[in-house]
Parts: sequence; structure tokens; C-alpha cells
Amino acid sequence: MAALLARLFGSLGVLVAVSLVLFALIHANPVSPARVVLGNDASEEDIAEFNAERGLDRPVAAQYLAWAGAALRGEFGRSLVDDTAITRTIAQTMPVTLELVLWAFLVALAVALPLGIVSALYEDRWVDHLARALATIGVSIPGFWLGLMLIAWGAVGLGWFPAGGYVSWEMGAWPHLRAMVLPALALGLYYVAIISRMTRSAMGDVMLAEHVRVSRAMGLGRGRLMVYTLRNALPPVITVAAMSFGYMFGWALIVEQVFTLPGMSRALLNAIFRRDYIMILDIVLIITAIFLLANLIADALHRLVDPRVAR
Amino acid sequence: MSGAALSVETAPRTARQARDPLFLLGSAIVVLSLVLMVIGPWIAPYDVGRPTDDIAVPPPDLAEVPGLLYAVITGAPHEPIHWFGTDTAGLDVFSRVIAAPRTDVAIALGANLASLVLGSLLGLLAGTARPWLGALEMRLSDLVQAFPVFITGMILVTLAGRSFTTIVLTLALLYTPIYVRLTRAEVLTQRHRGFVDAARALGKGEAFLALRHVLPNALAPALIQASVTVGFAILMTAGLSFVGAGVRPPAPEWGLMIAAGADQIIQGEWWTSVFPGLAISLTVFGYACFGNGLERRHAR
Repeated sequence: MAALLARLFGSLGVLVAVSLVLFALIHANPVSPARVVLGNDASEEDIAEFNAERGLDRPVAAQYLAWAGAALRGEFGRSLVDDTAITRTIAQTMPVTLELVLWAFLVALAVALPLGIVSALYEDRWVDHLARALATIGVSIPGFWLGLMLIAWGAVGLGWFPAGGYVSWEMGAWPHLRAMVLPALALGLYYVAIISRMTRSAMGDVMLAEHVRVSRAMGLGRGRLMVYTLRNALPPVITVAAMSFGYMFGWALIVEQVFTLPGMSRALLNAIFRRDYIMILDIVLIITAIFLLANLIADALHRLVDPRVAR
Repeated sequence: MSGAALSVETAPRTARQARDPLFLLGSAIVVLSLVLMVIGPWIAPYDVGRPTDDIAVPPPDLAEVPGLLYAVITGAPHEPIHWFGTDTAGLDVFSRVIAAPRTDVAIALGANLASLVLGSLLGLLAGTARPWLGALEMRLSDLVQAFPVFITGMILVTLAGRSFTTIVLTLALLYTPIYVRLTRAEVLTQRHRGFVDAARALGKGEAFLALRHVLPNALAPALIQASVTVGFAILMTAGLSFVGAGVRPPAPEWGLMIAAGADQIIQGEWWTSVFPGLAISLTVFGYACFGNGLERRHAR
């Protein structure tokens, strides 16, 4: 428990450090949001007024503290460009991204775990070769291109799925889920490859261990043996799955672009192109926090599965 | 020097090695990508920047391909051929696909070379210098790796100005921690091997030992990783330009080409984005197979 708390504080430290680095980085950039919003022929006075209104004329340290204080209270501030409340933008867009990532994650786990296990059980047989080839192909295909191919196949060709766009839950569960199938596949395939590969190698390592050999020699059934092996092979798989979950958010943004899903990608891309600092900062921090949280959960699960770590 | 590090146990492996078809395929793809990186734009049949008069022409039917190839080889008179069709601007897709490694592969290699050199030197330092320096480097690596890679890439490249150089530097920064970790871990196991202790007993300085004996032997995992990371870097470069945060159009670049063809795919004009995507997948697959093959050899 103490170790977990230490990890938690470590993660908070990383989060603060990430926000500091981002803040410094963004403020070191010569293009100011005032220039982007007001255009190249805005007068110096206009720009000064723009900056004064939004507190951009204060020292960077003061700006950071003001932002951090508000963020701690759950108040993410207003967009520098169009003055909308960022909390609202995030509340509207985040659920879509989160749902996409969750489906993709479930798809990845549901395919990767059986694939990795079968691959390890039948090492060097054709199933294993096939699974490994699939894993290598899976990490080679860019998700955004796969998305386009899925649209060409499942939407244009077969007509089973919509070619893009978001259908809210109110329109019915089936239409909603149908619109999420292709994006989830496009995002999940890469992680099928990553997770199945890790499952296979972790299972393979454990199956060579003495206790497994002894159990087999004592006549333990294949099913029981597999359950024990799997449990011992889980920790690295959990770690990789959690990291994948975190990384998925980055790539989810590009998949959202392909399928025109109203997730965080549009807000973030607009913010980046228009130098909307506060918006960039908030979105990146949320995604980083999710990444760190996923790792913490993995750590806790790890301790649950393998009490020796908790010691 | 790196070659020496990778081929310590050369003698007993020939038999199984020959039967690693994926490694052979991977090596062939890697070589092809390097060749195209150098001469791709020169051997492209059409100018990659100047539109032709053929707008959105589909590629020839598979059945016609042998006949067309025959005509090209024998020099028989024939219509201008667009192997992969042309896009809505009239640009020849085949020419652009084979010219793109000059951008995609060059960025990926440049970024990896920079991060490999920087990362392995920092890793060597972390593994041999005072413990607090190593600990500091590890914390910094944690910090860099806590940033979401793709999003941070987007932000850094856009803020620094979208260009070849900024993409290389951004990717190099993001990938350096990988090499720091790998090299440090390997240095820690290598620095007290027998031959290092022997050289130490002869009175050689620590800096000399680190560079002459430890580093060459600690490089193998980093070099193997590099092959896989080049693949990531290609995916990342293409992804950045796909969302408009990478190389600027109209440069021949795989991600840009896919983005340009994305709108047409609904109308059944598949070729403008299918071929560049296949090129990415094949290239990344090749580097991954090459890396896996190297890893298996090294482990043996």
C-alpha cells in the first residue's frame, strides 16, 4: 500500500513536471495567439489589449500559478481564441474519445489474449507462425489508413456500417454501436499485435519454469496447468495492456479524424494550429493523467496477481 | 565496430539462419527502402510535382499489366502508363510513392540515428558515472516518456514550424529515452565483465574503459531496437502529415497522399490512398522483420 502511495505521488510529480515543461515550451514559441486571432495587420495596441484581457501580459510564472490554481479546482479556464469554457468543450468531446478507446481496448484484449495463449501453447506450429505473422503485420499498418480501408470495405462495399460520423445513444443502442465498430477495429488492431506478442512470450517463459515442469510431471491436467501458467504470465501482459490503453488516446485522435467522430481531436488540432495554449495544456494534461492512472491501476493489479511484488 | 558487437559468436549458426525467410524478406525491403531513399525521385517516371493531363485515371487492370510491361521493356509504342493511376490533380501516384522514401525513410533514419547516438552516449554515462547522474537521467527519461508520443509530436512540430528538420529533431527527442534505457541496462551488466576488469587492473582510466570496452559491447540491443523504431518513426511521420502537422503539401509523402485520397475513397476512387498505405505497411513490416531477425540471431 505504501509503495502504491509512493507511486501515486510520483505520478502527480510527473504530471506537474509535464505541465511546467509544456507551459515553458508553449511560451517560448514566437507566434502568439494574439497574432493568430487578430491577424498580421493588427496594431500593437490591439495586441496589447488582447493580451491584457486574457492576462497574457503577466509574468509567465504568475500565469502558470493562476492556471494551476484554477485547474486544481477543476476549472480549466477559457479558450484564448474563442473564449468558450474549456471545461464544457472537454465535457462534450471527451466521452466520445473515451468510448472509442474503451471499445478498441476491449477488441484488442478479446483478440490478443486468446491469440497469444494459443500461440504459446502450440509454439512453432502453424497456428503460432500465423499468429506471429499477424502480430508483425498488425504493427506495420497505419491505423488511419486501416480506417480508410475499413470504410471502403465495410461502408462503401458492403454497406454494413456508416462511413463515419457519430450516432448518439439516444438514436438507439444498435445504430450507436454500429458506428463505433470500424473505428474501434482501426484503432485496436495495432494493440492486438502488441498485446498478443507479449502474452505469447510471457506464457512461453512461464511454461519453461521448473514448477510448471514439475506439475506436468506429476500429471496435472492440461486445463489446470494452463490456468496456473496464465496467472504467472499475467504481470507483463497487464503492464503492456495498461501502456497500450494510455497510448491509444494519442492514436485515437487520428482515427477520429478519419471517421469524423466529434471527440477531442478536433478541439486539440484547432488549438494547436491557433496556438490556443490553455486548451492544448488542458487536453494534453488530461491525456497524460489517464496514461499515468492506467499505469497505476496496472501496478495495483500486478500486486494483486503476484503478492511477491507487494512484499 | 557495431558489426563486431553483433557477430561475436559467428561460427555455429549458418544452418538455421538460412531458413529465416522473414528475415530475408525484411532485409530486402530495408535495402529497397534505402535505395529508393537515395534514387527514388530520380527514377520516378513522371515529375512528382507537375500534374499530367490525366485526371483521376485508375490503374490498369491486372490482366493488362503483363502486356504493358512487355511494351515498356521492348520499347514498343504505347500510351503513357500510370501504374498506380493518377490523383484528382493529375499527379502520377506511382512516381510519388517511390519518391516518398526521400522524405519518410530519411526522416525516420535521421531521427533514429540522432537519438541512437545521443541516447547511447547518455546511457553509457548513466551506467558508468556517479549514481545521482544516472538517477537524474532516468527521471528525465520517465518525464519524456510520460508525454503522449503522437500528440507531443504534433505540438512540437507545429510550434517549431513544420519542416523536415523539426520533425527529425522532435522524433529524435521522443525516442532518445528508449536508447538511454537500453544502453544503460546493458552497460550495467557489461562493465564488470572479465575483460573489462582485466583492462581496469592494467590501470586504464574509466573513461577509456567505457568508450573502448563497454560501449561497443553494450550497443547490440540499441541497434536491434533501432530497426523497430525506424518503423514507428515512419508511421509517426506519415500520421503527422495525415493530420496536417507534418511535412507540407505538395511534397511527395505517404501520409499526405493518403490524406489527399481520403475524400475520394467514398466515391470508389481507391487507388490514390491504397498504394501509399501499402507502401508504408510494407516498409514498416520489412523493418520489423529485419529487427526480429537480428534479435533472434543475437539471442542465439
